[in-house]
Amino acid sequence: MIVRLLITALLLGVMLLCSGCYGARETEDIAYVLVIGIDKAADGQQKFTYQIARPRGAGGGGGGGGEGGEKGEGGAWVINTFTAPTPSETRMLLKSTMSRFPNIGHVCAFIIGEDAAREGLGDLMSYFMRNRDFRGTMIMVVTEGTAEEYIKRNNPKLETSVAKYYETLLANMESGYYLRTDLHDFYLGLKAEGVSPYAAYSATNPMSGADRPAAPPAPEEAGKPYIAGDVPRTGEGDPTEFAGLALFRGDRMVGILDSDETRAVSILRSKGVRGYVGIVDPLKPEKNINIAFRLGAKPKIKAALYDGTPLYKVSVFIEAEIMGIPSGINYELGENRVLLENQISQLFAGHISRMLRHTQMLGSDPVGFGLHLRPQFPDYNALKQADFTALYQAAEIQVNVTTKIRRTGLDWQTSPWQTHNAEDPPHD
Amino acid sequence: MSYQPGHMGLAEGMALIFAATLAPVFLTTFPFSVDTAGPLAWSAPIISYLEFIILLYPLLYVMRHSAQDLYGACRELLGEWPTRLIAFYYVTLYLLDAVLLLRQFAENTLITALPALEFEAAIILYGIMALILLYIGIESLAQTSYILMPLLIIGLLLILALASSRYNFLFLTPWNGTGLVTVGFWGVRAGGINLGALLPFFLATSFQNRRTLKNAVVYGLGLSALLRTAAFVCYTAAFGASISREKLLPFYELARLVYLSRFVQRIEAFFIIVWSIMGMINIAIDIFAALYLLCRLFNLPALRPLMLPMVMIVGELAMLPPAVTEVVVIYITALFSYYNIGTLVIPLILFCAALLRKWREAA
Amino acid sequence: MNIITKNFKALKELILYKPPEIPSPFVLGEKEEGRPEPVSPLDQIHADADMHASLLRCAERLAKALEKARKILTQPLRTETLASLAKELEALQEQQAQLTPLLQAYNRKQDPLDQTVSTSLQENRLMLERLYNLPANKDLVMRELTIPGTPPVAAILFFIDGLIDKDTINLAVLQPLMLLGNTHRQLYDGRPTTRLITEYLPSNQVRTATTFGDVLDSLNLGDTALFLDGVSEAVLLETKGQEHRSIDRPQMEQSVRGSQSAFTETLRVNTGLVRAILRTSDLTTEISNIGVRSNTLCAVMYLHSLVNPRLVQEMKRRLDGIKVDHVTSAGALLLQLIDHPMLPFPQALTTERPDRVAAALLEGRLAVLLDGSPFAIVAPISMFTLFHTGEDFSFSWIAASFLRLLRFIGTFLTLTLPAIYIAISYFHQEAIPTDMILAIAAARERVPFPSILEILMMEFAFELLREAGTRIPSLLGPSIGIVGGIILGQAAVSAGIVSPITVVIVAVTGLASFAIPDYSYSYAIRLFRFVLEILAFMLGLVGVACGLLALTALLCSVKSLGVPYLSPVAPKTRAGYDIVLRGPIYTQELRPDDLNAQDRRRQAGVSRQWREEPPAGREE
Repeated sequence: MIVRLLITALLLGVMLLCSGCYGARETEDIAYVLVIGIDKAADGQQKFTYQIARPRGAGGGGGGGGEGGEKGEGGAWVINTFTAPTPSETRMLLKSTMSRFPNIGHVCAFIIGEDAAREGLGDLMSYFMRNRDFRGTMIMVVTEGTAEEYIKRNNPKLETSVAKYYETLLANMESGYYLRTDLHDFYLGLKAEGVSPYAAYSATNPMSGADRPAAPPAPEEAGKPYIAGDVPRTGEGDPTEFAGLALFRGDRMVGILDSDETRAVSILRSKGVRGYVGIVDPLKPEKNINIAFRLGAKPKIKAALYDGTPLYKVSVFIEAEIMGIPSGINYELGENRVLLENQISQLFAGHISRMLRHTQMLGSDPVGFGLHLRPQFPDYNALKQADFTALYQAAEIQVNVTTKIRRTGLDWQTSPWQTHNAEDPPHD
Repeated sequence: MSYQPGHMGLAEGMALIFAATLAPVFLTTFPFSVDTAGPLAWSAPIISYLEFIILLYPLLYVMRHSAQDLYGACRELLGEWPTRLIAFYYVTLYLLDAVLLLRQFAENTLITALPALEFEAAIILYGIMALILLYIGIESLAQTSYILMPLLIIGLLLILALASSRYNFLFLTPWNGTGLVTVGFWGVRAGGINLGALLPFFLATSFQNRRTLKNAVVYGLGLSALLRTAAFVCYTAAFGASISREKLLPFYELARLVYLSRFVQRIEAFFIIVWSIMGMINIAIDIFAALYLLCRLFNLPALRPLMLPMVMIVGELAMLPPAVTEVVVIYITALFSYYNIGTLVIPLILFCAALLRKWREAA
Repeated sequence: MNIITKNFKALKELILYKPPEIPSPFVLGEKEEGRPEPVSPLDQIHADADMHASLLRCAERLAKALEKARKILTQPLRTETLASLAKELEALQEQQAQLTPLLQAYNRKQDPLDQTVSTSLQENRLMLERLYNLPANKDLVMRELTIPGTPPVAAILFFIDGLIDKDTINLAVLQPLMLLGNTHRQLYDGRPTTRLITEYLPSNQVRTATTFGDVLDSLNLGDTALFLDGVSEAVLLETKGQEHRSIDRPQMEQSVRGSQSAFTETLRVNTGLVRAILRTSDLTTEISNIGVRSNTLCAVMYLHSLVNPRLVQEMKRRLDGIKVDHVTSAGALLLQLIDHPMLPFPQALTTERPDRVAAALLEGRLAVLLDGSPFAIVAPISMFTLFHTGEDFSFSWIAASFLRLLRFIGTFLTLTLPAIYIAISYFHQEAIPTDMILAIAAARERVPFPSILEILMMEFAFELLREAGTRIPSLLGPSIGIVGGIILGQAAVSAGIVSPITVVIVAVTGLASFAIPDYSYSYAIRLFRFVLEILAFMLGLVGVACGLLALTALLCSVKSLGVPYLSPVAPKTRAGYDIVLRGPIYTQELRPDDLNAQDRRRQAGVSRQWREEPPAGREE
């Protein structure tokens, strides 16, 4: 009896084992694709760039025919670009170039060329969302120029793995100058009622140090807003930089927000913004004041619908901390503090209003004001009928920013400098 | 009768009901509901739960009529042949459930975990597991589900918690969905899901008393309904109604959304354990119910010899539909229509018969 | 010429083969089945000869007696001599009765053990010599003596060398019989054995026996049998004095804070150890024999007023129902007792600690002790008992709970870690963080084997190490550690045979397996781990899920002496915090529910009643 049972079990096991390979693959038989770049090619074809990790310590002859990065011996990755009508074919072609099976599961970022984004990403999204190899948490970045060039030029100096670069960089977005966006966010914007798709914007910097601000600074502001690629910098760092937000209407990219506008979006989406800002000294405009700020509370958006026109009341509460007062004016106490608080409030209100004007003009709602309008509809069928883009463009939005200076850094008041001559009188 | 299932208590009853009613959370039932009920579709489990709780009291009243199980009570109230008809209906119902679940879980295994697996192998795998579970008997099966229940609940809640950064509860608005009446009616029709909750009534003789039965239903089904509701709320909040209706496997999609940091992401593979175990248990329970009723129906002395043929039949039937969409359509259509005869109409008929008898006795 | 013939002979001897003159080698003949062993006609002749010889001996004795009677009758008559003559004649008559051909034929057909002790010393001696296969067997010692008295009585002492205490025999048997009495002893006055026992033998346990079965049982235990001429009873004297190991520290279940004594091989020492902890009349020790040929003593211990009597009945039924030649150890006995011998999971607790046995008895369980085995079997148990150790109650409940959790986690890791690694690295590579999978892939570049083989190889090596460590003399123990640590860990990696991650996985698994307190449970888990690994290799995490589900289902259907193995979790019963976690000691008020003990409560509702009394020095 036991023998017979054992034989049956063995036969079953052998049957299961023999009926084929169940997709078991050794870890070293797989090529891990880390980044995929998407570009538009001629005559409606698509150009896919695959950046594939070369396992550390492997060394020796690398596979594939692409260019290597500069890390380690032989480079830490391999880049391959293919042109084909559909993404599936590029994957098949990729397999033909290398011994190992390309695994898409570890892709961390999609880099999308601006041309492809402006053409429309809807077709691609349908492929990405249905395919089990891709997942909603993969980062999505729109880049100036072509993704292929961007991937080739991006050579992180601090990280050994490009995957770690994208994930760490986009996980730490306290500055609010860029937002982490992934496929899921984008797809939600594409399909869900009340929010528009958007994507992080990145570019490679020519490193010439040229100053190309995206807009003139606000009167309260010391610095200028930038869009990725235009930041004035020189040096030997990684030329890629993240600043700004690519806006989409439907599946087509329609515009780019600059860093200040993006920070306004971050604030309204309460993405944990916390950073520094230089503002013009309210009493001594030739000097600037450094402020550290953070969101004091989640921004409140109240929505109402009057005769088919939405009215939004936005209230933002900002907590600030003084980081430096070059003018030496005592802003820590009393009326001066209120003055400074108002200055900060005006600055952020200005940014938010500018962002709103810009996005309303473009007909793209990255903050998701439409979501707050949803409870105003009688039921879901009515909501499905509504045109949220038109509603957003017609909406009246009142912005109210309040600021509280909670802390004053390590000093609680300022003493004047020693006077050396009469030409430089002390402050009153 | 050697197929009598042994002694079971509240814990076992609860676990049986829980295991037999939770599976839809892993299947396409919810995305289908979103089509009708919009963002309020998550309320369907609650409504169907309330529906069954209301039905519970008539059922308990019917049970009071007979010291036996539901089959005995039915025979006493309706006579021999109607009872056989009803039992036959339930046999087909449980078999249908087993077949459809088997196919869907096998397909899900292919889609999510083992894309290179032969489809037949997946069916055989689930068949073997069902056999093992059937072989140890319903008592041990119930105990197995009881032991695994906390782990499954923890697994489920863990996913809901890990994905919480993705929730935007504004996606649940407008709060009334497609209108409260539509949604309410839909929730009642979704009561077919409660088929598993009837099982303890068929096995009533092995439970201590009617109170055990009642509590098992209230807590077991309640827990399952609560979890389903929570999962659907979270799923809708993460995807919005318009994407919710697209997905084949809502729970799997939710697990795929988990992204805590670059270390804790892409962890849905670990939760394959949760839903595949759930599926295996549910299939085994369904087949057991069908076999048990078959034995009652034909007064057969033993259940064990039927196990292998029954599992093979179920497996063969599960392989019949050509594509997964057909299985999903059949499952959902049956769940919202054919199942309701068993979970709603027949209990009410029995209740009326019991009332009629009492009225006659009084007269 | 001579040289030529010599050389020719030498050459011939060299060339020609001559079979060596040795007997054919020993070959154990085979017993052919179906063909009955031929009954040698000699057997029958021997049997007849025996019968005739005994008749002859009887006749000789009769002749002697008649001679003696003649002598006595010729002398002046004395009542004592007459009485002794009467006795002798009576005994003769009895023997005569036994020797009727019919009875003899009947006796020979009968089991010799059921035969009654004869009045003839000679017959008894021959009988024992036959039973113990004397003179080939040197274990049985025979000591002939004459007990002084009027008249002097011929007697024989039998005992088995090695089982008795020589001093006891010398001082408490031989001395009083041969030296200490005076010659006025009249043994034949009344029942001689009774007189011997009550008046002359200072031994502490003395019984009489009438059948050879009883005599043999006692002899085999180390008692001394005394046969008297003309008496159809044997006197059994307690002279046990077997050499045995003294009480030692526990070897397998060492403890930091628990008691430090362990069972030894001697049953009575072991029962004494338990009784030393539970000094109550309630503690019952029932002793029976197990093993048709070995007659091993086996004790069932329980608390009479506590344990469910059905459990005792069932245990005794099972013990009585074991028909084997010999039970080698408690482990072997355990396998004869349990419900599911096909499963490797231990269904009863085997422990070498008397304190654990006592604690189990107090919970309403049974303990079975086997002579010659330093382990006690405790049944029924639940699987969770196997995670407990004797000293769990010596620590604070937080520390003890932590330790227990650690053991559960260790068990889970042992069971699943390699399987999950295999499943993920083969099927679900995306579940590992990118950096780690790249590191694994890089480390595996040079490895010439698939991951599954790597893991199986390393685990096999680890099991080998473990087995070697158990069997090796303790002097060589450290070298095994060195071999294991250096060769397997370091060399295998640097030789590129395995990848470092595999070593880590196997090492963690191995370490975790040591956290399982019960040795055979750890074995079962480790065996099932291989099943899970194969399943994981075939079906990924789905396979792991199948394995875990099947394991849970299997365990749910197991019963230990009729008590569900996973109770009090499945089936759910009322349970205190003494399963996975161990609650504070004063909350342990009830015994485990699944044992259905006669008394559920084991400590007062408020066990620390001093808290309600005024502190010392403040009494009113």
